Amino acid sequence: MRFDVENESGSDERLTVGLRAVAEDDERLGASNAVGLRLLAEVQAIADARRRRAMVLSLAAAAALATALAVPAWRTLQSRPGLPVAADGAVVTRELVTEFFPLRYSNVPARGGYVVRMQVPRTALAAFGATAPAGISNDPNILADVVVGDDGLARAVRFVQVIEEEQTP
Amino acid sequence: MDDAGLIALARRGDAVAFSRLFAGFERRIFRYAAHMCGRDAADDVVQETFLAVLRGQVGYDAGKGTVGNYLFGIARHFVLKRLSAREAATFDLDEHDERTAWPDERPSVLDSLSREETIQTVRAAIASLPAAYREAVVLCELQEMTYADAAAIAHCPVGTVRSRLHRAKALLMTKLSATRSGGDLVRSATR
Repeated sequence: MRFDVENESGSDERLTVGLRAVAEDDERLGASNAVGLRLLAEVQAIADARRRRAMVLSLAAAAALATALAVPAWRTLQSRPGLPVAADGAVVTRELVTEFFPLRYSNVPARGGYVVRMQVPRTALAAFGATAPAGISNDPNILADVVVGDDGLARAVRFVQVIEEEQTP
Repeated sequence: MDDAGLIALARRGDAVAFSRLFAGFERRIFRYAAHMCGRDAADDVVQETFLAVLRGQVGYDAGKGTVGNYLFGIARHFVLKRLSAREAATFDLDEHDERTAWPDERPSVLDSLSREETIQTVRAAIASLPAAYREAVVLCELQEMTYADAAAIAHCPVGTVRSRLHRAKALLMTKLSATRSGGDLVRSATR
């Protein structure tokens, strides 16, 4: 096939036609498939790394939430003597507790608080605005877990009865 | 979704966005790199260019130009790293504002060549140009970019691109003059 430049005038036009021919021939050129695959692998690696980061952040958030919930609970446990303990297999101590009853200041917001176990006279229950439910012993004194806010105001109370049982072999 | 959006998504690991971005520019960058530093190196230039984009090594600023100019700018960086010191020095030729004589009207080897031979001969003539002139031809003639876009990519004034292109064409016409055969030109270009 002859390259037709008969109608072009001057070397500039011939050059332009030659350059156009090269540009058209270049149209078929492109990077190899291996380059595309290598780059897609990089994109996949980025996506995987982002997923891992998101998972780590979720776990960290969950851990922070669990810690926020666990620490007050741990403090509560630390302040509660007399949890059920097996004594050499002879006697097992367990506690019978009621639900928490809200007290006068239960609606006052508090940033934190603690639980205090105290022995209160049964007659003093009325001062908390609560009465001992059925199932609690009729002793003149009674154990109570009082939830106290960081402002010193009591928010809730529950009643506790410690029961000691002999463990049968 | 515009090209800037595709870049942002690709950097977050969106394969579809990356594929669209790659498909839109890969061939043009490959051709530019192939003319500037050879086809063997062009694959590497394309890969390094898009890796730099994905890894955020060079941020895209819409205020500084189009995504195309941004990608070509990165590709040019990798092209220049592959040029010999002698070739890279041709970008400083503009300091010498010598007048390039336009060759006399003479028969060209193109007059007697088939299309395939013409492509081979012109391609070889382009390859034999100094790098700065070759770049002007590739960007303005083969890629059909505006002088402004070519200047943005080459980090030089528009007037410099214009003068480089003028000199490049004069050199090409001299090389393609009928006083030399196409085979001679091809051989000389590959030395």
